[in-house]
Amino acid sequence: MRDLLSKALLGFNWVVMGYAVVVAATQLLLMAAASVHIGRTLRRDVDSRMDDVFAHPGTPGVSVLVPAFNEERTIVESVRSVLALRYPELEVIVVDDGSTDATFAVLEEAFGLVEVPRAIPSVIPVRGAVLSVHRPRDGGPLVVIRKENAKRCADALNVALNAARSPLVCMVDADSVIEPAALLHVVRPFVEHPDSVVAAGGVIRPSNGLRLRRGSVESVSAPPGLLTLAQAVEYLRAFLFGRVGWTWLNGVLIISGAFAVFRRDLVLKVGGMQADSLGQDAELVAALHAALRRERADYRMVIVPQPVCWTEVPSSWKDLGGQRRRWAQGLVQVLWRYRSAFGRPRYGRFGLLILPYHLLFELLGPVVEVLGLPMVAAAWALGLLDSRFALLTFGLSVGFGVLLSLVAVFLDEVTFHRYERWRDLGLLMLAALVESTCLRWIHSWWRVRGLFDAVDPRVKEWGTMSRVGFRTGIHPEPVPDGSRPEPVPSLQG
Amino acid sequence: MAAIADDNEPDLTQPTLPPRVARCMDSLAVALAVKLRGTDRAALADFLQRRGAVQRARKRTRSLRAVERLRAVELLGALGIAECRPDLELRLRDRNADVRRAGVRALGRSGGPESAAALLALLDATTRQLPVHGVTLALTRCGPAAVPALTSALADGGPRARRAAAQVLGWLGATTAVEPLCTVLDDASLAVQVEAIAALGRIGVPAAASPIRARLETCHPAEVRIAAAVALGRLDDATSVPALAAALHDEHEVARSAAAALAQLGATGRQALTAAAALAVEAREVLAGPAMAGLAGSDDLDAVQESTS
Repeated sequence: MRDLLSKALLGFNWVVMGYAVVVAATQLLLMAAASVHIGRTLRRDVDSRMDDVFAHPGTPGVSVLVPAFNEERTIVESVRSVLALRYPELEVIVVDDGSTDATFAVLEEAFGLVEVPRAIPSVIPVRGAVLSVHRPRDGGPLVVIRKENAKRCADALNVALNAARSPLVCMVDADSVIEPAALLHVVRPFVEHPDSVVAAGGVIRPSNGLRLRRGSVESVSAPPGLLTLAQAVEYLRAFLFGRVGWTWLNGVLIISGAFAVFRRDLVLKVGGMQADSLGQDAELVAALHAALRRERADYRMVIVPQPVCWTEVPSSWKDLGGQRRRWAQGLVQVLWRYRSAFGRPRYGRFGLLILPYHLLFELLGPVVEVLGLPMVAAAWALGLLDSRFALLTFGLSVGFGVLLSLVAVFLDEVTFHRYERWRDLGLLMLAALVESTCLRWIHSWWRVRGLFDAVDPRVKEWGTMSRVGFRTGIHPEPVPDGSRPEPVPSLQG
Repeated sequence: MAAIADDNEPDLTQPTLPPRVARCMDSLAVALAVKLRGTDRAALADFLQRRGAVQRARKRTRSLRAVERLRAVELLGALGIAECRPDLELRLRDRNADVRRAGVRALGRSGGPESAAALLALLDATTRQLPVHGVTLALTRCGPAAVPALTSALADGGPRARRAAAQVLGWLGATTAVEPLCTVLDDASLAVQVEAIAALGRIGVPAAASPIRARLETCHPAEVRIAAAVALGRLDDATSVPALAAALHDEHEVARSAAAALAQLGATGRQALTAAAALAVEAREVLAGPAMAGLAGSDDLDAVQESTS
């Protein structure tokens, strides 16, 4: 029996070892691809290209869609940052999804809203009825729609999609702050490759630690607290290496809902956002992949390396855990919904590369990591553990993670240089170390719990997240006494 | 410019500057040149020619490195030197898409009628196609000099060239192109039809109203009907009011465009909108727009609500 157990453990360890090597090789490949892509993009980038997008009379208009539910702390600054976008033809549609706080009242006061008649066609069916439409008294591109809450952010986005009038739609989280040139960066692939680019996004960063002035970023400093710092490093690594690398492979599956631009006609064609999905951004991208592959279309989805958006990340363990569990659930939903595309040549990269990669490495990766620890303990108990070899393997694994994070921080600093003080860089590097050595296992645990949630029919809710709000240069701090605000329900992932 | 003009400054025209300084100078020159026009740009071009930078850039357009070719093309385009045009036209067939794009931009800044023809000819190339967005901007920057090449592309070009030509003729407001544009209203390509209608609307010659009105009929695709409604609004031709009023009962996008067009057609258009307001929310929306603008700053918007409900 002991012999059999020993063989099983050894076999499992070899499988884990092989798995780790493949994961490391894949990440190295993505890192190399992303570094080459970023270097090439920035070397060949000239200001006149951006000016051309702005100056061209045929640059497509963009409708910016902002779903908001109980966002009274951040909504005014977010809408200001959207209205301050540098873009020739802009429409901003905010959907107040039946907020129970003062979301609409603060918007009404800040922008002088009045009720107007507005035709909203029912191209995509929605659950929550539209109650009224409002526009600023003195004109401008802002439209605020009030609707009944349907307990799904996707429903608010579908109302906004029905109301949008531009060929491109940009989905933005209500707790996000947008860089003034963000749309020019992200729309540029659409205008340079109008026949092929169908969706695009950019690099998202945590807004915790930002100081704003009238919707624009006044100063950038490292997020406060280890948890948000670690997420800052994680976002840099995921966006600069993961998603930009996938752009090189034309295999983007996730364009963050915090800032994503799509061709509106195609989004309407696939039926808009899936109302019952917990990973609606990935769901939409997967739907587009599937539909376009079925039509044998030549298409591209792009993540530009420029930072475009700052979004609030969870600052408490509870919120972060809830978010990661929801992400894992959302991924399960996407992979399950498109299971028929797995391994089928008809679906090209989507069926042969993107879906299998996300199943093997994104979904099952945390399972392997979590199972690995008890297996090491069991091997030690049975006297099968070669301590030097185990330590070496652990060190290499952690060291590789730290290396990836540090290279991401370094690459970001030399290319975009957003942090103003050396102290911030030092903190980020420290967070890279902590994130790869400790937090990574906790994240994996949350994601494994998310897998269990996905098969539990009782757990299908969006959960809640505390909003801290932005620091601004003109208003007092939102939480002056330093106490945590009351949690408010949120539909934003 | 002070460095060029001031005799006391070190002589920057010497071609013996260290390579790093020379590169820095070139990139500064590009940044400056794209913002300059007329004699200032000519002065900068002359300064760089005396320094030998232009000759070096012409040579670098044939470099093996794509980045080198791209930067050289950007520099030559920014300076707008006519004798460099052949070098730039050659880069329109470059193997690297970014260099081709830079070539298009450069010809837009320095080009004349010959460049317009070269740009249009390559739009429908089977390999190494040029980006339509860049080409249309470049052609617009070429200005009225490009009109003959654009008109001829409407008749002889491929679908991408015909579409781009129609678009740019509209942006340039080329009144001489009304007739050629009317001939492509029944083009085989739907995109060309739509752009031709839009261009006729932008040019604003009322003689084009009749064929455009005919495109409002429901036998035409929705894109054509929308473009026709928008164009009729721009043409400011009161005889189009009945056709646009009928289009208020068409599908949403067409009805919205028709309502906006009626609002542009003066009192008769507004009368038609008011008459249709009870049934068409698009008409109510458009009626509320100008009314709101008129009351900007006032607290009393009840009148607007009442008149539009």
